Parts: sequence; structure tokens; C-alpha cells
Amino acid sequence: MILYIDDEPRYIESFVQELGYEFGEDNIIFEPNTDKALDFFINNSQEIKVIILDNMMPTGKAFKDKPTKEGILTGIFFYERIRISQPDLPIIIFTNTSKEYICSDLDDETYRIFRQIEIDENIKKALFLQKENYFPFELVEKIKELST
Amino acid sequence: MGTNMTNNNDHQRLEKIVNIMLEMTKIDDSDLLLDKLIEGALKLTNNTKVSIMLLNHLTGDLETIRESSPIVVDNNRKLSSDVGITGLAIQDEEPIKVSYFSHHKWKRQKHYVEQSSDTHSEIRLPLVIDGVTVQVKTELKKVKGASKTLGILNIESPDFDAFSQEDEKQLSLLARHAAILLDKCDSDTKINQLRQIERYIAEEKNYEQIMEYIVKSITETLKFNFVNISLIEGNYIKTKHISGIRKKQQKEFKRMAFHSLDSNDIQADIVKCKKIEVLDSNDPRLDPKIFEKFGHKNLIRVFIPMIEQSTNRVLGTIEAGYPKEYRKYIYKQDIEILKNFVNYAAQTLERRKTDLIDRITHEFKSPIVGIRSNASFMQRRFNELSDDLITKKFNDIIIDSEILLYQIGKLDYFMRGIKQQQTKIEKIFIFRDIIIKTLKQLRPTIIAKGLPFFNIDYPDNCNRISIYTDRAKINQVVYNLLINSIKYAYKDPNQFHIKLEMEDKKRQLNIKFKDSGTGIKDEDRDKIFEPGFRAQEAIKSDVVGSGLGLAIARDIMKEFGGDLILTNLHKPTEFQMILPKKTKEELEHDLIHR
Repeated sequence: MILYIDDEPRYIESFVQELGYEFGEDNIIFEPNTDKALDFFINNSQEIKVIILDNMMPTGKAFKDKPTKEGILTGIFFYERIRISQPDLPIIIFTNTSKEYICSDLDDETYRIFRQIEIDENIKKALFLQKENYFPFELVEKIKELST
Repeated sequence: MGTNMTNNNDHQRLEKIVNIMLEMTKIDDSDLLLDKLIEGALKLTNNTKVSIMLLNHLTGDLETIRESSPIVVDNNRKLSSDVGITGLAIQDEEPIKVSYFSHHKWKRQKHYVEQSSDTHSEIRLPLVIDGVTVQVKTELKKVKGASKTLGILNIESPDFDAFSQEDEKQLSLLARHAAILLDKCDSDTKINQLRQIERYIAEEKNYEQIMEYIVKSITETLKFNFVNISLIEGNYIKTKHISGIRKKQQKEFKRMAFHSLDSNDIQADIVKCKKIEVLDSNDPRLDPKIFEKFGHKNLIRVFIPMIEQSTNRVLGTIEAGYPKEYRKYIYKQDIEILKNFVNYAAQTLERRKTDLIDRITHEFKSPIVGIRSNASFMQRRFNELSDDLITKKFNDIIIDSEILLYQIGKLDYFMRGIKQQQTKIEKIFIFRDIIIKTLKQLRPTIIAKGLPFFNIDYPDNCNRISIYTDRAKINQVVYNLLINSIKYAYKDPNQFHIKLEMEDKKRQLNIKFKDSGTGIKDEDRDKIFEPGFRAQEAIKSDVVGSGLGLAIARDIMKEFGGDLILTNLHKPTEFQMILPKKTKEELEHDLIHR
């Protein structure tokens, strides 16, 4: 099962559909709401094989007290939350925000998580990808890379 | 023998005063300086009581801030700078000496107010600085007679005729020396306070708060009680912050203080010339309506352009003033301090603008990702896709392109600076070709949010309504109003409703956009039209927004001689587009001459 979390479904519809064509529609769960996505993850974490995560999303209740810069960094904190219960689950952060943009003006907590993501990238547990650099079929290739 | 004694005395006195003055130069704290002044005055006189009064330049009140010993005041008159010998000392900027209290001509004149019955002579010395450099129009000059009065040094003695000519001279020197040093301390304190405020501003993200700090600094720290901060938007300069007039009048002031950069108004002129200027009351560039209505006759004001360092572009102006009754000039020191602070404020505002540009360009990325991914998906899987899906995908590509154009329109409008954008006036069927068309484009967005597309009403026979206007610009306004109705709708599909109404009047067409969404808070009703403003509710539901849509929409409407107003906050939220009904020629004429 692939869990795809993004608050702007219209723009990434082709990505979700491509995943459906490749891995089977029933195996793709798309959730645009931050809180519902977190609930789904908690209740189904055993079955989820990969999570695809946007960065800029409304914080929902779950992350409203985190320093998300009004939602710009919600994905970073969602990543942290996933790692607490699933340290080895492959996660792809698939976003419009560049690393440079995120790194400008970070506080300590956020920086720590960001470093963790970079370490996870090195050992192939995670990927940080820019949406505008990937076609839907290329995202599929990246997912396959991570899963092996 | 007598001469020797006198010489010795004189020598001693001279030594005393030189020492006192020397000691004073080593002090950089104004409290200690005032103490030293009291001490000095006591040393130079015998058996006296000394006090220092400082002048409040805004009200003219004199406040006693130091006393060698509490002076018993027989009648409870407060000293003021326009009453009595104090007033005379301040006015003439010369020491006034009263030697005999009981039988003196002063008593019979209205100038004199007896303070205490113990005192039989007194002398009041103005703490004044002469030959100050002041700003006159665009230049700093030493004007003959330009001076700065800080207050009064008052010395009282129970002896008759206690102060000689020589005493008067020396005490006067002491007072003037003290005035110079106090003024320097004052400047240093102001600079330190402003440095502190600059630190607060640097950490502050909120634009409104930054403006508040700036205004507060100029009024409280620099003691200008009238402050007007104007910013350039498009081809106009508008007052964004005003302080020093009654709260009730502020809205009216802002409405009136709105001038084209091509006009002859002082604000436009300062922007053009990029020079600091202090104005005379009768300067022809001052807007006479504003001048009359807000009583600017009594003010002396300095206008400072806010210039962005790296591009040398003018962002706006800061105007600061105070009543000229007690401070006849604007002093070089204050201008130097104000200038540096203004530059800092300009930098901060510019940084905020860059932030906004970042936000706008972020808004580009989503539709681009949409277009690219849809095209690639279809290219690779074309044979596997149903006809319906193919049609939908092509439609999505078109819609995403429109969204992208809308975002580019925002950036274009935001960046355009002084040049006007191209305008093309033609006859438009506003409902058929713009409103209903945009609704159709937004249909997928509505459906993607789980909302029903059918719950949208528009007036009967609206397809026939036409008006002369610029299609692209009106499209921008309509798109913004409709996308807001969708963005801020309640999640419950049963609550979703958009209703469009129309009032076809003789000289104008009013179109009402009503929606049943989360609405606008009363305290935000004016702020929503400010560039970059985002209500709390908006931030929660739409992370990436630039906060520019309504600001631009209203600017566009005003450009055509119309308006965009919020007429109801909630249930329904109602905006009205006011479109003037003019001929093509009339509109084109208006646009050229605006």
C-alpha cells in the first residue's frame, strides 16, 4: 500500500493515477487532509510500504503547535512523526519547496529533523524530490528504487 | 591692594567656572549632567537655590526636573514658557534678572509672577544653543538667529541684588555650555533607543507591527508628533500610516492622501526629486484640501524619501512634523538620525516585498506541475485512457494554464512600478464571457474540494449585459472573487452556495458576489485589501497564498473609476464590483489622465 499525502489534489492527479496504473488502484491511498492522513497512517502503518508526502500543507490540529511557518514546513514535522513509530519506512518528500528555501532561517528543532532527513537520504530510507523535476512515470521509478 | 584682591577673586572665579565646565564635558549621562549643572551653579553663587526646568517642545510646558532644595512656591502657579520672566527668558533667549522683588517695576507689569516670598533676587538663564544648523527647504544651513531652547536654569537668592553683571555673564556661559552637552546626550540617547527598535523590527515578521514600530519611534523617540508614511503602489502614492490626527479622522485622511505620481503634489515631487525637504506653509505643492481640513498651518514638516539601497528606487516617503511654536526649525541632528532610521525602515519594507514575490512565484509552481504531469501522463498512456479521461485531462491542462496566467498577472501587477500596464478597452458581455466562463473553469476545483457545482445562482437575462472595459483585467478581478468563495467555503457540501446579483443603474453596473463561506472578521474588513495581508482563517486553509488577490482586484477596479467593496462579512460574505458605464472614448480618456 502506498499512502500519498498532498493538499492540492488537482495538480498531482496524474501522479496518483500513474501510481494506480503501475501498482494497482486499490493499493494507492490518497489523503489531502493532514489530520486524516495522520490517523490513517497510525491505524494502518503495518500495511503501508511507502509514504509520499508534500511539504506545504495546512498544519491541521496535529501540527499546529509546531514551527511550520504557517504551514510551509508541515511535511517536515509529519516526517518526524512517521519516524517515531516507523524508523525504516521509505518516505518520499515530494514538494514545490526547495531545500534552500527551507534552510533559510531555520530554528534548531526544524534543523535537527532536516539533518535527519539528509542522513536517511544517504542510506536510502528517504528521498527529497522537487515536483517540477519529475514526470509521473519518473516518480514511479523512484518509488521502485526505494523499495529494493 | 584692592585691585589685587579683585584680580585674585576674578582669577578664582574663572578657575572655578573652567573646572566646572571641564568636568561637565567628561559626563555623557544627562542625569549626571543636570546634577553637575546644579552643583556648578551653587558653587558659582552664594546661598542660593537652583532649579532646572526643561521645555516640552510639543506643549510649551516647563517641567522642573532638578532642584537644589525644594523651592517653596507661595502661589500655585505652574511655570509656563509664555508667562512671566521665564517666558521672557525663553522668548528672548537671554538671561533675565530680577534684583528687587518688592519695589521693582516688574511687579507692576504683567510679566512678573512672584514665586516665593523668601526670594529677593533671582535670575533665569535660558539653556539655549545658538547657531544651530537647520534644514531650510532642501539644504542644511546655519541660519542667523536659528537656535534651540532646551529649558531654563533658575537661580534664586534671599539677598537683594545678589547677581552682578559678571555673574550674569558667567552663569550664562555655564547655561549655554550645559545646553550643548545636554543636547548631545539627548541625541545619543535617541540613537540608542532607535538601535534597540531596529533590532525589534529586524525580528518582526508582521508588516503591520513593523509599521507601528516605525511610527512609534518617530513620535516617541524623535518627538515628532505628526507622522505620515506613504508608499508607492502602481502609479500612485498613498498614505499607509498616519499619526498625530484624531483617530476618527484617520480614515478620511487616508482617503484624501492619495495622489498620482504624475501630479504636482508634494509627495509625488519628493519621489521625483529624491531629496529631503522642509516645507513652508505656503508651498504650492501642498494639497490645499488636506492642509485646511487637518490644520497643517501650525506645523513645520520634513519630507524624506524612502529609497531602497540596492536599486536606488523610491519606495515611498516619510513625513514628520511638529508644532513650530516652540521649535521653530527642524534641526540637522534630528534629520541625520531620522534619515538613517528611514533608510533602515525602507530596507525592511523592501525585504517584505521580496517575501511577497517569493510567495507569488511559489503560486506558479503548482499549475506548472499540473500541466507537465498531465501532458506526460497522457503521452505515455494515451492508448490506455478512456475518451472521457482524455477530455478531462486536456481540460485540466487548459485550466491550469489559465491559473498560471492569473498568477503571472498578479506578479506583473505587483512589479510594474511606475509604468502603466497596457489596457485594451472593448465591449464585453460580462456575465457570458467572463463570470460564467470563469465559473466553468473553476468547476474542477470546486469538484476536487467535494463541493457541488450546481449550487451557484446568477440573475436571469444576465447574458445580455455588456459593458466597455478591459477583458483581461476584469477577468483578474472576477477570478479572484470566485476563487476566494471556493477557497474559503465550509467543508460541508450542503453549506456551499455562490450567488451572483446585479444592479443595473444608469451610470454604473453593480455586481454582487455572495458566498456562504467562512466569512471575514470585522477587524479585518479594511486589512483584506492590503497587499500581503492574510487573515488567520486564510492561512489555515491555503498555505501558499500571497495575500495579493484582493489588493490587486481593488486597484484594478479603481483604475477604471469603479470600486470593489466588502458589503457583508458573513452569511453571506458579499463583495460588490462597481463598474462605471462609460463609452470606450470616455474610459480611454480617463485612463490617460488618471
